[in-house]
Amino acid sequence: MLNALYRGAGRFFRWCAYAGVSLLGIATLLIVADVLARRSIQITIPGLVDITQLLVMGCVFLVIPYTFLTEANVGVEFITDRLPARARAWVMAVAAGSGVLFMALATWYSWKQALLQTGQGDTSQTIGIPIVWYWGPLLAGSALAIAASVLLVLRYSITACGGSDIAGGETASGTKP
Amino acid sequence: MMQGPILGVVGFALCTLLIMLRIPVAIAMGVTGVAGYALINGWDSMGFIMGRSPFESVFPIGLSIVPLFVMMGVFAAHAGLSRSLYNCVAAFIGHLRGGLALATIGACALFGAICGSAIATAATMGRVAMPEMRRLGYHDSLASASVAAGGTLGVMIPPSILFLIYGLMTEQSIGKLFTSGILPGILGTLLYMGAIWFATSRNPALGPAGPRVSWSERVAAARDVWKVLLLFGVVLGGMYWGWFSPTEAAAVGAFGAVLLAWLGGHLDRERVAGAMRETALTTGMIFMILIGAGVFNYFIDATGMTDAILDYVKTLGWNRWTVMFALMVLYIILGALMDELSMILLTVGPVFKLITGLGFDPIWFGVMLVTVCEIGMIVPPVGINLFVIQGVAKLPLTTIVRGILPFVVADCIRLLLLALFPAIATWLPSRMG
Repeated sequence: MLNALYRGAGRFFRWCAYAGVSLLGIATLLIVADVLARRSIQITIPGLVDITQLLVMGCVFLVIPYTFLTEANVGVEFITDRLPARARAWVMAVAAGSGVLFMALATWYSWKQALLQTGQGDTSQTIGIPIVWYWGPLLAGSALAIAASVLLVLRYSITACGGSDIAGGETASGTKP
Repeated sequence: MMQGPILGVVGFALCTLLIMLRIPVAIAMGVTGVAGYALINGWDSMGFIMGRSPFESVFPIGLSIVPLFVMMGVFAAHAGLSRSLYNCVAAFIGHLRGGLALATIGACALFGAICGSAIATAATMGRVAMPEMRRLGYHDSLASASVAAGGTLGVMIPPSILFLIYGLMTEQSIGKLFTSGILPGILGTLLYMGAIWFATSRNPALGPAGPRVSWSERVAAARDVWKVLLLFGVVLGGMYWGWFSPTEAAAVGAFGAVLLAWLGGHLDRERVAGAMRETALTTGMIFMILIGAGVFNYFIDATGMTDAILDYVKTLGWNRWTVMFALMVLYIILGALMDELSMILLTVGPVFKLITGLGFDPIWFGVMLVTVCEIGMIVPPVGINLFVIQGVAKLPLTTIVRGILPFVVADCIRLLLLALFPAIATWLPSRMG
């Protein structure tokens, strides 16, 4: 069952990542259109900075959970690589656990900050996009990153206790190693 | 209770220890920052910075440039331009002794002009160049080392992710930083070629000469290179002449790279998915480090460590060049132990204040910093490009390391030349409008 859960989560986070990069693609098209329109017919897209910021926030926080699940966050491995498999799995479980801790703190305090700013009716600078729209992707992405880290803790804890690896093929390359 | 600056030093040491224990760099910086800040200013203040830092690390419009340049590099790598570049340079100089290794360096430099990542440059060129060099009987040590070293040119020749992050962290002009990398990038290319010439002069069996190619074949090979030059020209030229902002340049570059990949017939479903995954992972990785570094830098600011270091250096009475030399040695050691992006984010706050306090040009220092990062990428134990080539060429690490020494010496010579003649880095940006 855990294998199925891990594989399902892998697929879900991968599609989140595709959605994130698609938002970046939309931002790219809007900026290029703005450059062309500005230089040819002296027209600009109103509020493009606000829109770009929103799209990039969406992109970044949709791709971060996938980065966690595939362990693409940069880590130094030259000491842990020399450890026996089970000892290494313990280290990796602790590393993933530290990710849970950090992202949980980030999510909780970001939530409080988001409530505060939303309560004050904050909006973006040019076209008045409610600030909660910017906080939404951050909170969702951080919460999903916690879920991804919890799955990693589970995966490595099982391996450390002598079980087989539950990673169903979701690695940084997107395929089974 | 420990004094602030000492707590800062302890924080640095703890963070480095956590990184060595395989805690991801972003998380190590974040957790150390949270704990340290809470210790100094209390839990409530820590809550405030934790509520703000992730948002601040992604929201500013200037940061939009990062994922856009990442996307440009990834799609350029998937556009098949690397093979055209390699074939073109090899057609002109492949008949020389060590010619294919020289061509690898030249092609890496050209590819670096559209891709800001050393890893992507090394991996992409490795897949193209390694089989060719092996076919002609090149020794694996020279072949693999030339790709590993050539790949580092990707972060010196603009656009460069490292310059981007340095510029964003220190509030320097991205356009000027990119421009400052052009001449040192060309110098690095020539010095790497010199290293190959030196190695093959001592032992010609390392890189035998290939067959000479006719002029008609050379012209045919050069036909596809215009795409790379056009993309580079539009992105850098646009920034240099003020046609558009760095963010717009990045978007135009990303759009151009996707367009070239599509026109070249390289965008089937699988490749698009691969490019999207690579863009996602690199973007997520960079922004997580930015978030972790954001929290860590709040902590370092709170300790007052930077000012204490400045005061301490002043009391030593060292010449500013001695300080710079010590810093470069420190960075080479750090670069050999950790990832270069993390190294910059971890240290640039206090170091930047120190070097500007000593009167060094921040743009020039950016070039020096990226040069030592290049060294760090090819020096064991964690020179990232060594591992990239190990993976691409399926070679023992020792084989690659055996061939790397001439390239490290070439990098050290470049560092020395940059110190003696700062204009190599500062002349072009000084001409910008």
